[in-house]
Amino acid sequence: MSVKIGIPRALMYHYYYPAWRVFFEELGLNVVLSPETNKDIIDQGMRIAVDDICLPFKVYYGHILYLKDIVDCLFVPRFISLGKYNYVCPKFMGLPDMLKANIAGLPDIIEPFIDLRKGIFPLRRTAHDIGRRFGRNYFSIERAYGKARKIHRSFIELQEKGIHTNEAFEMLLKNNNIIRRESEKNLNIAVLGHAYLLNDYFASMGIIKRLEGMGVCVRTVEMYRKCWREKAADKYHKRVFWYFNRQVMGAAYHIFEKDSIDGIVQVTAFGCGPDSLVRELIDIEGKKRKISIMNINIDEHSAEAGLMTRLEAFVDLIERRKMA
Amino acid sequence: MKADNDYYLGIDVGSVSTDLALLDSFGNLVDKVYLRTRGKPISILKEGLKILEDKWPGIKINGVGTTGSGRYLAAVVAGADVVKNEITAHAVAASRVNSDVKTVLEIGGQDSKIIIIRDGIAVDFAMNSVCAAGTGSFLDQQAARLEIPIEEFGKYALMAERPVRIAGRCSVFAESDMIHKQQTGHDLPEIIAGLCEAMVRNYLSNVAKGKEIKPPVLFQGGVAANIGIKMAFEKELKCPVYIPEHHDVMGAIGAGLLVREFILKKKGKTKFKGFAVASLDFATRAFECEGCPNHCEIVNIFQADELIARWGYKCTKWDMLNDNTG
Amino acid sequence: MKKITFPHMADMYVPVRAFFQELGFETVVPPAISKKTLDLGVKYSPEFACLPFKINLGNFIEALERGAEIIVMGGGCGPCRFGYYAEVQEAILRELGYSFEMFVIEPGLFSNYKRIRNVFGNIPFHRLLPAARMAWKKAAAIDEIYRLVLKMRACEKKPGQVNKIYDAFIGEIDNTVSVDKIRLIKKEYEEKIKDSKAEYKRGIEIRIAIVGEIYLVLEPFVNLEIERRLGELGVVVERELYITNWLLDFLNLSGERKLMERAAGKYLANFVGGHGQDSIGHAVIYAEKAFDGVIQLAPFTCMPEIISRSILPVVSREEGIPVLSLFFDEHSADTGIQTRLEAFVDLLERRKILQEGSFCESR
Repeated sequence: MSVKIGIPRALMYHYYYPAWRVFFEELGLNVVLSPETNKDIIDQGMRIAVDDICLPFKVYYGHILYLKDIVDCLFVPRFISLGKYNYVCPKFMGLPDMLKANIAGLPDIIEPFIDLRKGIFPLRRTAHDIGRRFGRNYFSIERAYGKARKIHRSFIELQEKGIHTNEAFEMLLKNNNIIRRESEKNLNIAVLGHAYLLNDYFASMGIIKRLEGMGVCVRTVEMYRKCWREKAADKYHKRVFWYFNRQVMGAAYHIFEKDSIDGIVQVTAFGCGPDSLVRELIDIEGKKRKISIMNINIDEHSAEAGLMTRLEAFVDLIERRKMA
Repeated sequence: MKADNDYYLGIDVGSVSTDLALLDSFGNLVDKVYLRTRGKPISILKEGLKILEDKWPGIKINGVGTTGSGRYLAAVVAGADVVKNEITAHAVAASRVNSDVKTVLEIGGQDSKIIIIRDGIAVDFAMNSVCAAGTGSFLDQQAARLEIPIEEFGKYALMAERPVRIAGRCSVFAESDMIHKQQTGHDLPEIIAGLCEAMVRNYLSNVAKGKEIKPPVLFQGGVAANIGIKMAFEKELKCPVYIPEHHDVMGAIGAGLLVREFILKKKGKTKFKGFAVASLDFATRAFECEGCPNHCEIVNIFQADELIARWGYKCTKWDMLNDNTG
Repeated sequence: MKKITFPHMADMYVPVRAFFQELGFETVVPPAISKKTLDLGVKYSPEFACLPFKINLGNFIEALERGAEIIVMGGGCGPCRFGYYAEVQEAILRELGYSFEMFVIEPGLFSNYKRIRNVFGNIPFHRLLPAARMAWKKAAAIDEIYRLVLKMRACEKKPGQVNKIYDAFIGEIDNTVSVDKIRLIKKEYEEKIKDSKAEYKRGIEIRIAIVGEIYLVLEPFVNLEIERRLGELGVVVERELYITNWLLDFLNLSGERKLMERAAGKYLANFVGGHGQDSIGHAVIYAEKAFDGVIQLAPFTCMPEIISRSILPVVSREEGIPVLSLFFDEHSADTGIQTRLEAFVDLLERRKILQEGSFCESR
C-alpha cells in the first residue's frame, strides 16, 4: 500500500496541480484529489471557518474536511513569497496553523515553507526535504523534481496559448486534446481575478462557462504572457507586493495598452484584502481609457439569478457599443 | 429568613418586548408580565408596573434590577439598584432553572446570543453581529410574507414531512429563495419547516460559530415558543433541547435574581421609586448637538419637568449628571 | 513653503507636528476624527477597503480642504494592506481633483534625495536631530502618561476625572516648545493622576490586555472608545502597542519581538504581516502574566488578524484565558459593543471570584 496524500481542489491547486501531482506520483505516492467543489463542501467549510474570511478559504476548509479521514497525509504548503519583493496574501502564510486550530483530527500535514524571495533554489531543497520524508533517494527525488518543473512549464505555456486552466489540466494529465470553439459573436472579454476563484465552477457560479455560453471569447490573466504582465504592472504604480494581484494588475494594464478587448469583468471574493485596493486602481485607470468594466463580488450567499442577469446585460451593452 | 412579603422586581426592556418578573424573597417567580414594547418603552414600562400593582396591592419591593437594551432608561424611570447586561442576566436565570446547564441558546426579537456555562458560571458568549440572520425578526418577516401568524408557525412546521432546504443567510436572500421554492410548488408546511431549519443553521454558523455546545442545552427567549425551531435545533445538535417554563421572561428573572443577590449582600435600601412611577410624567427630549462634526444625539429624560438623566454625548460638554446609574 | 498634513492616529499628531515645526515647516493637522471624517472616507473609498484606509482618506480630504499641500503617509512592502494605502489614496484623491504632493515614508526612502528636495524644498539638516528628539520626547511622555491613565481609570475618585486630567495634559504637551518643559509637565500630571486614586470601582482588580491591529487599538474613535468604556467598568487595561514601542520595533531596536515570536511559535509559526503574530504572542504572554482576559481589536476583513482570530480560541483554551475578538467596520454600533464588554467583564469577574474564593460586591 502506497501512502495516500491528499490535495484539496482549492486555492493553489489551480496554479500548481500538474506539478504537484507529477512530483508525488514520481515519488511513488498515491495522490487523492478532492472532488469538485459542491454545495456540501462549501457548507462544511463555512461552518468551521471564521465568518469574515474570504470564500476561497472557506472552500479550502471544506475540501480539507472531505479529505481528512480518507488520506494518510495532507499537502498544505505554507506560501510566503513567490519571488523577489513579493508576498502572497497573508492568509496563505498562516493556512496550516489556521487549519490545525480549527479542525480536530487532522492527519499528518506536509507543510513546506515556500519562500522564494531569495530565488528558486530553496524550492529544490524543499522538494528534497519532502522526498526524504517518504524515504526516497537523492536521484529519484531529483528526477521527480525535474519532471514536475517540466510539466509546470508546459502548463504555463498552454495557458499562455489561450487554454483555460482546467482544460490544460486535462490535456497534460489525461492527454485529452481540447478543441477550442471559436467565438460566435466575435466578442472578447477579459475576466480578471484569482484563478482559484474563477476556475472553481461552483464557487464562481460558473462565470467563465456562462460567458462562453453566450458566445463570448473569454481571456483570463494566465493567458497573457508573464513577461508582459510584469512589465505592465511596474509602469504606473508602486510595485504591488502581492504576487497574484500583481499578475491581475499587469494583465489589466497590458490590456489597456496593447490588447484589443471589448470589456473587462473583474471578479473578486468578498473580504479579499488585496483585491479591495488593487481593483480600485484598475477601475480608475480603466475609466480614464473608457473601457467597459463590470465588477462582480462573490460570497457564499451570492445568487445565481442575479449574476446571470448582470452578465447578460453587460454582454448586451458591449455588443451594442461595438455595433454603434 | 426574611418575611414572606418581601419581593424583588426584574425588568427587561428589549426592542421587541418589555417583561417584568416578580420574585419572592427566595428568588422564586411569583408573577410575570410580558408586553410588546412597540417603540414606546417608557409608557409600556409604566403599564407593566400598573398591572403588577393592581394584582398585588401593597406589596413591598426590596430591590429592582433592569436589563435588556433599554436597561439604562428603565433604571432611571423606575429607580433601579442593579443595571445588568442581558447576557449576564440570561446566564444567571438559566443556572437557576438548571444548575447543570452547559449551553444557553437565546433568541429574541432583534438579537440572539449563545452563552457557554461551565460549573455554574458563564465562560464564553457570543452575540449576533450586524445582520438579523439568526434572530426572531427573520421569522417575523417571513411569517408576514406568508400571512401566517407567527404563533402558528410551529404548528405548521410539525406537519411537514420533508422540510425544503432554503438557502441564504440574510433575510432578503432567504426571502427570494423562499419565493422561488413556492413557485416550484412546495407546500406551506414544508416551506415553514424549511425556514425554521434555515434559521437554526444561520444561528449555528453565525452566532454559535466555534462554540462548544454541550448538553444540557437550554433554549430561551421569545422564539423558544416556536416548537418548529426547537425541533430543528434538536435535529442539528443531536441532543435534547429544554425550554424553561418561563422562557419568555428569563432576562427579567435574571435581573431579579441579580438584584436579590445584591441587596442581600449589601443590605441597603432600594432605589425603587415605588409603583407610583406609573402615574408620573416622563418625557424624553432629543436634540442634535452642533458643537462638532460628530453631531451627537443628546437625549434628555425628564420626570415632571425635572432633568433626571442624559446620555448620547461623546465629550464632556454635556456632563451634568455624574451618576447616571452606570 | 508648502503646508504639510498627515493622518491621525490617537495623539500621534502632537509629536509629528512638533517634528515639522522644529524643522520650520508649516503643518495642517486634520480636524479631529468625527462622523464627518468617517462619512467622507466611506463615500470615496473602495467599498471593501479596511476601516483605517477610510478614516485616513477622510483625514486627507478634510486637511486638503484646509489648504494642505503635502501629505506625509506611511508605507511598506507588505503583506498587510497598509503598505499599499498611499498609492490607492493618491489615485482616489487625484480623481477627486485635488492637487498635492504625496510623500510616503518607507524603506529605501533616502535613496532618492532628489525627490525629497522636490517635495519639501531645502531641509535644515542641522535641525533634524533636535526635531527628532523633541518629537520623541513628546511621544514618550504621552505614552507614559497614557499607560498610567489605562491603569487609573479603574480606580478614580470621580467618574471621568482621569480623562479630564489627560485632556489637559495633551493640551499642555502640544503647546510646549521646550524639551525641558516636557519632563516637568509629565511629572506634574503624573502626580495629579496618582492623586485621583481611590478604591477599585468593582471592589477587585480586573486586568484586561488589549491586542490586535495597531490602528484599531490606538485610535479611540474607531474602537468606539473601548478603553474608556473598560475604565468606566472598573477594569485595568494594559497593552503592548504604543507609538513609541511600535517605532522601536519598526527600527528593530526592541527586544520584545523575540519574546513575542517565541511565545507565538507554538500556535503560529511565522510572520503573517501587520500585527497578526503579535496578537497571538502577546495573548500568550499576558496569559502567563495572569491577566484576567484578552480583547482583540481589528478592522473587518483585516487579513493578518483573521488568521489570529482563527487561532485565538485555541490559545484561549490551552492557556486558560478568556478572549473576546471584536472586529469593527463603519457600521459598528455603540450599544452592541457596550453589552459585549459588560458581559465579558462580568464573566471575568465571576470567574476570578470563583477561582480565588474571595468575596466581593458585584455592582
